[in-house]
Amino acid sequence: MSEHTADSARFELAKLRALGVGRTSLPVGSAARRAGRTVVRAGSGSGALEILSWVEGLEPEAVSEHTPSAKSFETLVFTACLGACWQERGEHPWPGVPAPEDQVFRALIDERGITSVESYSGRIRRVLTSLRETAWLDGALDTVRLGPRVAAWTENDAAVLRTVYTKLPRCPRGTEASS
Amino acid sequence: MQLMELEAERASAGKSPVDTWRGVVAPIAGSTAAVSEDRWTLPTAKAIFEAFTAARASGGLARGELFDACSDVCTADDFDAAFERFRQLGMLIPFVSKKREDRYLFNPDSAAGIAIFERVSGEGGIDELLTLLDRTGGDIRRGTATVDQIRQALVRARGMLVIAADYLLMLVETRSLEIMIAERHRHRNASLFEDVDLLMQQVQAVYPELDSLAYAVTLEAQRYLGARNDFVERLLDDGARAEDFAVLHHEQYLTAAREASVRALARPLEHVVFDPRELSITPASIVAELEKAKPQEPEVPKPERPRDGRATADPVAAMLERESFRARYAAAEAEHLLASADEVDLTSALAEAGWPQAAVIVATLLRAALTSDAYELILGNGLRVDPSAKVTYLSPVRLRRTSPPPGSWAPDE
Repeated sequence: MSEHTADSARFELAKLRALGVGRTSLPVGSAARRAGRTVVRAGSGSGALEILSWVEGLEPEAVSEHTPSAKSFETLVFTACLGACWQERGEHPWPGVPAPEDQVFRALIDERGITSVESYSGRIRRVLTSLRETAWLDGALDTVRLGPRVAAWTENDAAVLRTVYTKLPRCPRGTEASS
Repeated sequence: MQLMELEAERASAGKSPVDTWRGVVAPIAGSTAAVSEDRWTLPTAKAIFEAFTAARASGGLARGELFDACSDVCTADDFDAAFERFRQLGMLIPFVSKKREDRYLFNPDSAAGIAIFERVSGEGGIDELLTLLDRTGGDIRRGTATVDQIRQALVRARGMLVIAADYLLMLVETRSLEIMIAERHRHRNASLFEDVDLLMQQVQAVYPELDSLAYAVTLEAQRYLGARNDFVERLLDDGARAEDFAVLHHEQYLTAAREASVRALARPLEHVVFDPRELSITPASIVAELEKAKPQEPEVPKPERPRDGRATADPVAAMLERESFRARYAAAEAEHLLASADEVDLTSALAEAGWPQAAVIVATLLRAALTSDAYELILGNGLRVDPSAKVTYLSPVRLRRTSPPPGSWAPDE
């Protein structure tokens, strides 16, 4: 690779890091590996997105004080999103299927003292916005769609999540379509 | 500018009160040494003044009492020299009674002098102008001033504005940023123009014959404000170029933080790239969150084998084992680098390791420090930048052992 191309790849990589989610216009795989990163592609064709992930063993979430861990409530709301969108246990959770936002609200009833969605709706909506901003969710308001960060999960990650597949908060059966 | 002149200018940037007092005293000085070079002279005079105010002694105070009052600000020799000067210049007036020959009273004019010198060192000449404006306004309101007195006051005010504007323009055109920073606090009078305007309205209403003089004062006030704008503009431009945070007073930063809009505060960072917001959600944190929930379905079906057939028998146990292995590996790496020492500087080793191996080592040692109480990784605030080195940017890194290595002998065992 020429020096010019290497510089361009590094620039593309820096741009992807600054944007969080995007599309690179050059092959950046080797530049990413030199930085201890990998580029994960979510989707295919013109709608595909790329996201920076970490080489296994160098993930900062285990070791960095700069990446805030999601709070318990944020994680709980995300588990409800995962429950709504991940419908085939044998498949990787991403891309899953889009679900109405209302399903997430109703799935959270009876969880951790949430007895009515009305009293928690503002808080849940703020978390959904936060999850969209950080690419854990994708898509328009009123619809929940798993975001590109889920695509970065490895098969080992998916295997771990399959063990709690039935514990994911979900709408009571027969009410999914009521929204 | 010659080097020595530049040095002298830099040295004078932190303008001392003595420099200011020389300027004040110059019109009546009998020699260039009229103002004492000693920084303790004014504090000694103040300590003596305060001794008189505390004692309320109409019979005066003895020299010994005054010396006691000054014990915190000057030495005995310094006091002797200052006392003699104060006595000869009439600040200390000998009590007339022969029985009390060593007792002294404080001259009220000297009390005014202390107040003037303190005010001038803090606020400069513009504060005197404001006092003049204020006093003249009071005289007009009370009707105690003659037209000649008001004319003289206006002529003096106009003259002070001319001098102040010329001085500011000279600073803008010829002096260094350091000197301008040292001078900036002397030109902060936000209400100056309003004060001038108010006084001129009073003058025009009561003394219409002074109308043209009042107009001249207003023009000079506008010229001074124009010079002050030029001064602030150059101060901010040069300060921004030099990335010098001393340009503004710390109170001004505090005011900006409290009162400026978010958009205005964000402007200096318009061209800075930030990492986007991240939220760490991991399979482990999801499992932990769901474990908190009440059991939903008592029988958890056996995990299905994924279609690519790569599932392990117990993925959670495998995940925990992977994390345990990483922690053990990190501790072993820390021990290897410590090599029996209690502390080691890794900066050079990281520089030699190259990229990305240096990052791998740091990540491994951070894991060791987080998963075990036995190690501490100290990341320094310094930054070594060397474009030609194997690791371009590197901060000092030290690894420290915080408890004895596994299997080591301890006296209490």
